[in-house]
Amino acid sequence: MIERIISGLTRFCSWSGVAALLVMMLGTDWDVVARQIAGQPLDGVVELVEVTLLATAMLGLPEVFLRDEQIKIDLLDNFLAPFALRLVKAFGLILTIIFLGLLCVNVWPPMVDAKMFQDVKYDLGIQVWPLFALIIFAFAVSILASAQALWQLFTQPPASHEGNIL
Amino acid sequence: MTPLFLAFLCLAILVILILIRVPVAVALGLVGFFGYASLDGFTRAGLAMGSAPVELAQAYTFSVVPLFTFMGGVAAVSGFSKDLFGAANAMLRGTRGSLSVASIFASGMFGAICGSSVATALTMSRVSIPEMLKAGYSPSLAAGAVAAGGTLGILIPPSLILMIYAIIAQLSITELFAAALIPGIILIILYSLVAVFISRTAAPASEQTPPAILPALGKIWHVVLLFLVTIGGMYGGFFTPTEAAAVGAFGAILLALLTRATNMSLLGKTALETVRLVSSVIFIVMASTIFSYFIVQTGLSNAISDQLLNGGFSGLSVILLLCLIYIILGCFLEGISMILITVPVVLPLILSFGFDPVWFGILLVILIEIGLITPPLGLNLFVIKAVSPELNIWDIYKGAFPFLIAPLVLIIMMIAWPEFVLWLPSMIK
Repeated sequence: MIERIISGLTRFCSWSGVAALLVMMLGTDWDVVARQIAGQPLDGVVELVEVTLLATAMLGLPEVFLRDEQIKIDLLDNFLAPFALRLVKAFGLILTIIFLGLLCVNVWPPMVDAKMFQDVKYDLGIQVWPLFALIIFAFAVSILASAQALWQLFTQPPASHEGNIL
Repeated sequence: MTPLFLAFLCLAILVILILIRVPVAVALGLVGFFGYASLDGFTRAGLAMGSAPVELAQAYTFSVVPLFTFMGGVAAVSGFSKDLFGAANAMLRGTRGSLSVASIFASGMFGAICGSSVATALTMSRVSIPEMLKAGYSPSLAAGAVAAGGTLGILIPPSLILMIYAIIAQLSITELFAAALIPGIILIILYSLVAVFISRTAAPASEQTPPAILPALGKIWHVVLLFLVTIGGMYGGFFTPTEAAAVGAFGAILLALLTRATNMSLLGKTALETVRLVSSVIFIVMASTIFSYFIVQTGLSNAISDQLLNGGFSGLSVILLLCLIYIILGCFLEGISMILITVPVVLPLILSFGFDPVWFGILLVILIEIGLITPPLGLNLFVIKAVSPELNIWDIYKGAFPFLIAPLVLIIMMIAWPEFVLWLPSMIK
């Protein structure tokens, strides 16, 4: 049940990332066409791209961690016994969870500051702190996804855990 | 513990973590964070770590990465490569080994709309290897030509690796793309010469009659249009790199749908893959920023520069040493990791010896290309094996080996005459 919820959440995040990517593309295209044809560029397109880029980059992360698709070097895979390989993978996942946890903890203060000082994106008129909250949300879901990958490492056949190197 | 000793210790830990399969981003980020904390305390290290993802909220220049990646992804699933191969084959008919040369030319043209070597090798191997094997080419020549041609994907603009280098080194993407164009064309010619030379013994004397030239060329109008609009629009002053990438991505989708080369389901899958790829790339860039803060804090780069300058090393010897180090690293690390781990240390050294960072970026990409076709971690070789399981891995290794001469010759040319790399960027400044 929990596995299905986490998988569904990561997939939802990825599709939201796709939506952000499409908005980034179409917003920029709209600006180009409006500027070249009507001489009226789209206001705030640079900030729109910044916001959607952040969403694209962050919302794709949970599924990357769930599928264990981070860039890594698997030179040792052929030399290790299956159990040793699982231990090595588990070590990598534990460090991943620690790193993501540290990122969450350290992005929190800038988010609180941004909320306190009411930082805004001037052209779009939106507050900055929800963007930082999105970063923390993506890292938090990535922690859940990594924890699930760690759990699956010891409960499912090894073939389903092979990672990719791009 | 001195900062320099700490830097070397952390580099050693980083290498160990990467070798024991810890994700590169995690290894870079953790080593950077704890290294920084050892120097300046956890409060400052936390500030540095927190600022890396937060800066992403203002990182407009990064936007070229997802948009060009999306464009390349759409091109890869739309069968453009088949038309390119057909056109190149039609142009080269009558030449012995024309299919292998056509495969290299088509890879170069495909690289002009797809910034990834792996994607280029993947799509071209599906199209050209069966044709070459059917025509009686040796499996090693077929595999070698595709593996080598695939590397062009990261040199011919738009290139994912060059975009990442531009972001890390804070250089103009437009200038880097311009600098890559002439070396890219020269590399296509050098690879083709190698293919023609090997074809004397590895390809049949007569080949099947290829299609007529004009109809075959007519089929690649979409690729030519896409290249002219995106890259041409960028250098014609109509678009910024981000705008060119957005127009290119939209154009690729439109052309793929108009020519019925793909469907919405495949486009959705491509978009999902793009988002995942971009996320993992930007995550690793973010982690390398944390690592860079630490490296800068230790003063490692300046110390190495001072040692080399005071030790009487010439610029040439430093470049040759770096080439050797990168070729060795390329046997074990993939390109993005190699750039993100080494550039923070190496770039200040390069600058202190008076080399142009744009020129060095192109050199770096060519060195990465060598890694892509060198065992044991030559990614293009594995891609070919995955797409063509009937080929023996030793045939693939053997086939790629002679093609290594081409990038090595190009490196010598770049060191001897750096002007041909920097000429185009100087024209657009």
